[in-house]
Amino acid sequence: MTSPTTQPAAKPQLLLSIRQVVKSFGKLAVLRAISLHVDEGEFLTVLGESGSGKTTLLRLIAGFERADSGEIWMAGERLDLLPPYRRRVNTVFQSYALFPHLSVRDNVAYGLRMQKKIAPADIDKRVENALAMVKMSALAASKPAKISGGQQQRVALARALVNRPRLLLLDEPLSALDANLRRQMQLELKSLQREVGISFVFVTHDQEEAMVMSDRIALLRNGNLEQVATPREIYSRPATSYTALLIGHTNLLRCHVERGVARCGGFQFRTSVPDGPAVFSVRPEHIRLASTTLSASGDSVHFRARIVAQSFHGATDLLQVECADGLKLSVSVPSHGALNGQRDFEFSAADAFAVRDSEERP
Amino acid sequence: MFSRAYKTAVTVPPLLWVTVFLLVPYALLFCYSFWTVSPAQTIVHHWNLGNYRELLQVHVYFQTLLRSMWIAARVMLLALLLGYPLAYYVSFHAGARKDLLYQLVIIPLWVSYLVRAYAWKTILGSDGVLNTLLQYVHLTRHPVEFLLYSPFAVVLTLTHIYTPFAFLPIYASLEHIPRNLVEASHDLGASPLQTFWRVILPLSTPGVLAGATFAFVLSLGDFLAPLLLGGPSGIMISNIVVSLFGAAYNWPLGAAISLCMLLLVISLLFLSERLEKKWSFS
Amino acid sequence: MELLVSATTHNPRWLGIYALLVFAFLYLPILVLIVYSFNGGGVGGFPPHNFTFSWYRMLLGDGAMWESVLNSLAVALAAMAISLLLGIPAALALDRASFPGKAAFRRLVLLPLILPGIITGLSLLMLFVDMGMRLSLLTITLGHGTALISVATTDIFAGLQKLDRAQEEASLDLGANYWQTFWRVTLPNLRLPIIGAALLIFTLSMDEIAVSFFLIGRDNTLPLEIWSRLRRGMTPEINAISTVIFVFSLVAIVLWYRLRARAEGQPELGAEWVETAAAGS
Repeated sequence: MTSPTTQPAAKPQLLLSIRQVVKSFGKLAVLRAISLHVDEGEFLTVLGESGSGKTTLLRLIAGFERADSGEIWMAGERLDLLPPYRRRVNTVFQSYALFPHLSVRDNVAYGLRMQKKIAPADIDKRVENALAMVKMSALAASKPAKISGGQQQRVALARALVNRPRLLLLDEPLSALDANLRRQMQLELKSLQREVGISFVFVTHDQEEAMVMSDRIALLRNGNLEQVATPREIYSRPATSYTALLIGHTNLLRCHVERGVARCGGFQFRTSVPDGPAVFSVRPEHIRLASTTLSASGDSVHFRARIVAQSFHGATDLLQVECADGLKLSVSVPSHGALNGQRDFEFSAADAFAVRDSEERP
Repeated sequence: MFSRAYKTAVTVPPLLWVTVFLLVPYALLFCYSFWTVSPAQTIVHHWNLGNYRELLQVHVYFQTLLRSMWIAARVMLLALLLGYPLAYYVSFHAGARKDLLYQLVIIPLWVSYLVRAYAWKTILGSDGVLNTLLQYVHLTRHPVEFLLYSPFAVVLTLTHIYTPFAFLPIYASLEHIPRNLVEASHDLGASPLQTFWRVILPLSTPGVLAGATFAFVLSLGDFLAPLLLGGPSGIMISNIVVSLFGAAYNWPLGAAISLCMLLLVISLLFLSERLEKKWSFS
Repeated sequence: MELLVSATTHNPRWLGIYALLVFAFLYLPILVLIVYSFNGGGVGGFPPHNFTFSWYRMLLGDGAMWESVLNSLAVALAAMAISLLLGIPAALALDRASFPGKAAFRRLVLLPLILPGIITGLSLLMLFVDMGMRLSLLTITLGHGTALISVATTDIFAGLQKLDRAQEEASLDLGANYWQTFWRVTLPNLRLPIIGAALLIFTLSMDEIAVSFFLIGRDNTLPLEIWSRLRRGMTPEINAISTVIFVFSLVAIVLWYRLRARAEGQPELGAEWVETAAAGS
C-alpha cells in the first residue's frame, strides 16, 4: 500500500472527469451512471470481478466504445467526442497487441510516427529512451513473436508511454504473467509511474494487486461504483459487506442492535450503530487467541470455539473455528504449530466495523 | 498412438490410388512430350527433343503463351481489385450481416462455371442483353462489337468467375488479424486510413498472395471461356493444347506444352508458398 | 469476460457502395439468365417480354437432357464414394501417421485442386488410352474421384484437427482397441465434416466440365450435354436448365454452410476453404 507523498500535500489537480456515464450492450446494462475522477499523477485502480464493467469503463476512456449517455472530460475539454486517435490517452492492452510484422523498435516508434511534427532524429532518441526505461534495449530489433510474455508486456508499456500521454490506461496487463514475475512487475510499474508522473488508470480483478499499487481504488460491482477510496480506507472501512469480503478475508456478523448493544448469536458488544439489524465485519487478524490477563468488558468480546481446520500461510496460520451456536469464523494468528480442540478467542468491539449489507457475495 | 496395421490400412489405399491416377499420368505426360507422331497418326516412341525445339522456334506458341499470361495477369489484378475491398468490408464493417454477406459471396462460387460463362455470352453478344439495352436507351445505335469474341470478353468472364476465389484467402487472412491490433493502432494515434496501410494491409499479404496465385494460375490454364467467348483473337495456350489432342492430332506436342504449363504452374505455386511463409507473421 | 465489441467507430460510405457494386457484378449475370429463362422472345434482346414457361416445358420433355442428368447423378454419387473412401484415410494419415514422403504425399493429393483442369484431364486421358480403356462414364468417374479426393481430404482433415484427442485416448483407456475407437468415437465425431464434404463433392462433380471434357465417351454428363448444345447455338432452354442448376446449387450451399456452422460453432472458414473452393472449375 502506498503512503502519501513526502512533499507537503499539494491540492491534487483534476485530470479526468467521468460524469454519469451509462453504457449498455443491447439489453445488458454494463455501466449504470458512473461518476469518477482521476487526478494528475495518481495511480487509480479500477477493481472488479468479471462482468463488473471495469474493462468497458477503460474502453470508454480510450475511445473504443461510445457511452449511451454521460460525458467524459479531460483537462477542460470533452474527451468522449474525440475518436481514439485524437485523444491524449494511450492503452496497454491485456494481450499486449504488439504488431507482429514490426520489430520491437518499430512498435515503440509507431505512435510517434503518427504525429507529424516530430523529427525522425527525435523519434529515434525517444524510442531508445523508452526502451531503456523498460530494459528492452537489447531486443529492439526482434519481432514480438520471438520474445517472452513478460518482455512483450514491457514493450507494450514502452510503446504507450513514449507518446507522453496525459493518461495511461492499463487493462489487466499483468494477468498473463506467472506469480513471481507478476509481483516484480507490480513494483516496477508503481515506481515507473512515480518516475514519469503520468496518471495511470489500472484495471484488475486481483484485489491484492490493487492494494499494492494504487493511490486510490475504485471498486466496481455490476456496473456501479461500490466504493472509491485509498487502499487503507477500503480495507479498514469497507462500505458494504461485499467490499469487506472482496478485499482481504473477513468475518461477517449479522447482528441485531438494541439500545447501543449489538447481539449476534453468542456475542454482544457496545456499538454506536442505530438500532435494528446490522452487519459487522471483523477481520481475521483482529481476532486473537485470548490471553488470560484481559477480562471481558463491554469493549471486548470473548468466546470459545472449536478449531476445525488450520492452514499454514508462512508467517501466520489461518484457523477455521466453529462456535457453540454453529457460527463459523476465520481467525488469523501468528504461526503456532498445530492447534486443535476448544480454545478461547477474543476481539475488541472497536474492530467490529459496521458495513452496509449487500445482497451479493463476491 | 497407432498400430502398424492401422497405419498401413490408412496410408496405403490413398497412396496407391494417387500413384496410379496422378503420378503415373504425370509421368506419361513427361514421356509423351519426348515422343513424336508419325504421319500415319500413330505415336512413335522415339525419344527426342523435337517437340521442345518446335515450341522454341515456332512463334505462335510463345506468342499465345504470352497472351495467355497477359490475360491471366489482368484477371488477377481485377479479381484482387474487386475481391480485396469486398473482403475488407465483410470482415471489418459488416457487423450483424457478416454471415449472410459471406454466404452471398460464395454462392456464385458453387454455381457451375458453364452457367456463369454462358450468362456472359448471352449478355455480351451483338444481339445480347447489353447491346440491346444500350440501343434501347439510345446510348448506341449499333451493336458494340468487341464485347464478345475478344480477349475483353474472356477477361471479363474469368474475372467474374475468379473474384470469389480471390476473396476467400484474403477474407481468411483478414479474419485472422486480431481486432485489438486495430484498436492499438488507433490508440497510438493512427487514423483508420493509416491503420489500414500500416497494419491491416501488411498482415493480409499472405491472403492476397494466395488469392492472386489462384486467380492467375487458374486463368492461365483455362480453355472453356476462350472457346465460348474468346473468338480467334482470344485463343489461349490451353486451346492450342486442346486442338492438338483433338483435330490437330499431335499428342506429343500437346504433352510438351502441357508439361511446360505444369512446370510453370508448379513453380508459381511454390514461389507463392515461399513468399506467403516469409511474409506471414503469426 | 467476453469483450462485447460494438460497431466500429467509422464506416466509410464509399466502401459499402463499392461492396454493393461488386455484389451486383457477381449476381447480375445470373439474374439476367434467370429472367431470360422466362422470356418468350428468346435469349437476347432488351427489354424482356412475353413471360412464358415454355422453355421449362421444353426442358421437361427433353429426353437427352434428362439422360445426361441421370449420368451426372450416377457419376457424382460414385465419385462421392471414391473420394470419401480414399479421402478419409488420407486425412487420417496426414493428421496422425508419420511416414517417409508425407509432405510429398500431401502436395500430390492437393495438387488437382490448384492445377487447371486441363492438365489433370489430359494426363488421365493418356493413362486410360495407354491402358487400353475405352472412354466412358467410368473414366469420367475415375477422373472426378481423383480430382475430388483433395476436397474430401481437406474437409475431413479440418474436422480431425478440431477433434478432441482426449476422447480417443479415453476410449483406449477404457479398453477399446484402435478399430473400435475409430468406429465408435472418431467416425461419429466426423459425421458433420463427412456430410459436408459429401455435399460439396457431389455438387462439384455435377458441375465438373474441365476434366470431363477429355474423358468423355459416348454418354454425356449434364455440363457436357449443355456444352454440346452451346456449340450449336444458344437457346433459352439452356437458360432454363441453368436456372434449375442455380437453384439446386443455392440449396446445396446453404445446407453446406449450415452444416459447417454447426460443426464448428462459428461460420468462419479458414484456409482449407481456399483449396476446397479452387476445385470449382
